Amino acid sequence: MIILIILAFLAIAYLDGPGLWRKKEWRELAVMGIVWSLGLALSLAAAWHWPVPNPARILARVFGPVTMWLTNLIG
Amino acid sequence: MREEGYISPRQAAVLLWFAILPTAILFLPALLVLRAHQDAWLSIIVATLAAGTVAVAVYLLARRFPHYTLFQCCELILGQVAGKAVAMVFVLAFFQLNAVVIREFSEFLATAVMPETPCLFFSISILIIAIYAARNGLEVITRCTDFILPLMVIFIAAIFLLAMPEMATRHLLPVLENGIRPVLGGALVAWSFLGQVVILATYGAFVNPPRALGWSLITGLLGIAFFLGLVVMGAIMVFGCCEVERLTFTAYDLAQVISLGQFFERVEVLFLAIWVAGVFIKITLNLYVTALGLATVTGLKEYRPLVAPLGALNIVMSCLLYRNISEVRQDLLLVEPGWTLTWQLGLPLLLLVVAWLRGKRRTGA
Repeated sequence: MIILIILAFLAIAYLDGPGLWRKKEWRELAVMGIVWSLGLALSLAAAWHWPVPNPARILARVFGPVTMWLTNLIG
Repeated sequence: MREEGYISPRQAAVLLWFAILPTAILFLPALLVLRAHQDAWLSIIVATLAAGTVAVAVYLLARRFPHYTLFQCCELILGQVAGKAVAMVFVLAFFQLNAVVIREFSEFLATAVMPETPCLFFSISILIIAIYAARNGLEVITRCTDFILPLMVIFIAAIFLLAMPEMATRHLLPVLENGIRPVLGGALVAWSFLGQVVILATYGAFVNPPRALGWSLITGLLGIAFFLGLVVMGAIMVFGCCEVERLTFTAYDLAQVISLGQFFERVEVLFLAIWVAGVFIKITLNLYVTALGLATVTGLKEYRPLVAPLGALNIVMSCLLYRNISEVRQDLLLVEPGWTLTWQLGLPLLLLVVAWLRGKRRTGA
């Protein structure tokens, strides 16, 4: 599983990375690199069952009460 | 960030249908009926009117800043720092939306059709095609819809017509049994799908001529309301509102009841094929918008290099967000309405008011 993830991410990097490197588009390369490494880190964390902060939980904590309030208000 | 190529107002309207309908016809009716019971179709009308306010905001923004995307508008209206922050909120919101859609797609296939296959397989396979399509640009995505739209329209209409022998209009009565409040509560749930018309503010910049955007907003919204209403009413008339509440994938279950003369049966497989094509457009469009937005915020010349890494990140995110299909549905019912009201209605209206107060417009471009 780990090997598959790393291979998949290498393939994604190979798709655009070399072209950007040759054209010296450092800004593009940097943003792409950040998104890419975030994806790789999260995938590995998911594969190893590490605890990761869950955006859905955060949204639920903030907007759950908002929705509740709205529902009680009008519905 | 500009993109070469333009789309016609008709194509923009059709894209809007595809940006909302595929997951809405499957997941929304059950949740809607849970809140509004047999008046769910009234909720759709109310939610459409509410989405109309977003449409008006999008239209007014587009008139002030023709040929600018929502992300560029943020910066033009609010200045460099605050503008980038708000644009980033939009990017993250579209990203989260796409993660939820991918999860809905893979959970549907894994729950209803292929229970032995892991979820991840479905999300990876659809994302590979979506990345390929999104890298080719908006014109290619719109041309995909030209092929899928007739299938989708004919099939939704066919499901409705062929299920007619099972329908009973008495399931729709009594109208407004418990007053208007359940209808409004249902509209709140329907809002989190219908509010996604805000996506037109992003690719609406590529509509030519820009003044025809109003037409695509109106036809887009009316078409969405019509087809959603068709599915919801069909489901209520076939199953009765108490039964619809317990369904998970309404349109799919509606296709399952079709049976003509004991030989024309099991059309849900056809529905599945066409639905997958529709949700593919939805995922591709969201992915494209996310990549375009991130490229705009970070000031890149190209959005293409971002598509593949964002797609991969989207897959991981869709797996991490929820544990199972019940959590997805609970979230759609109890969390999404508040969140989507904030970013789909609150933020565009804020942008519009600030633009109006500061007298910003860019009509010469």
